[in-house]
Amino acid sequence: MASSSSSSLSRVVVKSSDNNLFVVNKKVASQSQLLKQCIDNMEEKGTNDVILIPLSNVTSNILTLVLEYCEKHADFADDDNNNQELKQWDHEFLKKFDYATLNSLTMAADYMVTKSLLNLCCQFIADSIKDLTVQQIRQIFDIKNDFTPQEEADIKNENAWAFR
Amino acid sequence: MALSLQRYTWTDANSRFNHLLKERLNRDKQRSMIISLEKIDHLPENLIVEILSRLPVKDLLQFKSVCKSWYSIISSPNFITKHLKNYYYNPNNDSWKDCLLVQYYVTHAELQLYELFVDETRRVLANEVLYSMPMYSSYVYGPCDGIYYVYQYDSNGRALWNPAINEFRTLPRIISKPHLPSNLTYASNEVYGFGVDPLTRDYKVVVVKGHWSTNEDITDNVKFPVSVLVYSLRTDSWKYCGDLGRAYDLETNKCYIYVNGCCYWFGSYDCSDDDDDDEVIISFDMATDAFKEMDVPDYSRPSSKCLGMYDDSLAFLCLSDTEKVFDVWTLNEECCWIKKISVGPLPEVRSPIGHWKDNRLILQCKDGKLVVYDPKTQEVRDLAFQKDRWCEGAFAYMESLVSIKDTNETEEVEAGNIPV
Repeated sequence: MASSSSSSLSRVVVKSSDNNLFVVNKKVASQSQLLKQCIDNMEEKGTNDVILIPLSNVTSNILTLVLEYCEKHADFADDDNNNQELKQWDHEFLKKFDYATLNSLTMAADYMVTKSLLNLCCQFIADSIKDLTVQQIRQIFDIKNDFTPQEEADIKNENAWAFR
Repeated sequence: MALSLQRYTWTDANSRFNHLLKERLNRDKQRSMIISLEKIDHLPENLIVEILSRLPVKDLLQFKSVCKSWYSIISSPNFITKHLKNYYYNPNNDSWKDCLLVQYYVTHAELQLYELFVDETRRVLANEVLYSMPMYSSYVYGPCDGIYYVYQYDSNGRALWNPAINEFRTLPRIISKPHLPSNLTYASNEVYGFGVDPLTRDYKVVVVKGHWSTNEDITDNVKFPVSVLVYSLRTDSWKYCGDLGRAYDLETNKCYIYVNGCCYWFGSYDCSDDDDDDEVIISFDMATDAFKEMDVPDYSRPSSKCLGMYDDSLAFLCLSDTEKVFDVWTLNEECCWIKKISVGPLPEVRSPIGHWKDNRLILQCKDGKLVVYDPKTQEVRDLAFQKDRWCEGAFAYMESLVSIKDTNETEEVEAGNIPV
């Protein structure tokens, strides 16, 4: 058993919901506040064992993407959000995904508390749905219109200029 | 009609404008193809809030009619605050500042407000509402969180206005200083500021008014105490906040100046001899209701000058009358003025007007034309907008969902009752 001095872990193992294991460098894992919290807790306890963190909400497909993002961002300082190279990389990174993936990625970023990725995803989705019609929005988000025709007309009248 | 709106784009950049427009249309097309292939699963409400808070007001007003849950999200005060933070005060997004509102003095009875579109903007603004601006021929000042202060000189009328959600609130009649001697009356001129108390989030209008003597024996030069009157939206009432230490002659700002909870005005002591050494800057702190006096920079005199903002802090803009050199002064950490920019000569320019996005500065030429100086490119660009009148104000247009209605009414909406 470890003595009073706290040990330092260099790697952790993260398990996806479909039971795949990912070995992650501590610096990369720390991009996620959830993983960082787990690591900090273990280090406080002074364990020398490799720790396994199960993520019951994230599939391996999505976890691969989150880790790819974390790996890239681990190379940059926390306050380096305005770095042009990184911004460009972020954009190219998200551009590749379809909406279902983007959506799962957003939820994973939220769950794993990776704030910068969450902000990035939300901004990306917002930019994509800008200027769409109400009908298109309902379609994409699979939302049922629960207004009566009268209620809907009233809301439109209230904000008539926005519908032009 | 008090208000005319016109749309302008950079004339010298027409090809660029069209190019950008085309690019954007293509982007839109590609986007809609992706969308038709995939559906977004049901996102939890906290993430819907995160996404919606990054959208322009126009979209949000439309998306209120998507479903009841979106309606209540978009109507909630917490969301409205989050939206200001994520959409407007997001350093990565300042495209909303592309639209400039410019105000002109036309005749004694008329002021006009023009809307200028520059760069690639192709938004629809709250046009219908802007067109029917409720108070005839008034000065417009702001916006603070999408709200404008509206002041009608002739009728002494004052109001707050949020054009995006079509809310207009006439302020109660301004009060007088208590126990005002009967031989004094308010001067008709006043300067004003508008902003939000950063601690209480209460919107406040501050009016600084001098007095005239009703006794004709006393010369016009004498201005009796300059009083400070503050309106609070939360209490819907005016409060007398004391008199300034001396009689000042203050100038109305032509652009919106509100820095870290403070309003500023340029002015001078009201002395009979015209001495430039009398010039001062007065600040008013929205949180503490305290006034302060500041020195002006040691600029080259005589100059035409005004206050503005640069790098999000107070700036002093001046154009020397003889050399026609345009200087921008800012305050350093020790609160000393330093000359940040010096450019020129600009022989065509008559006077500075104020600031715009990306540290761009707006100037007015002798022929009334507006130009923009961009410190990044060191270019002076023509806004391709000209009136044979003097510009009275230039503001980056902003929309918000912030309600200025009576608190009672707001609470009804908060409770989730959809007005039918």
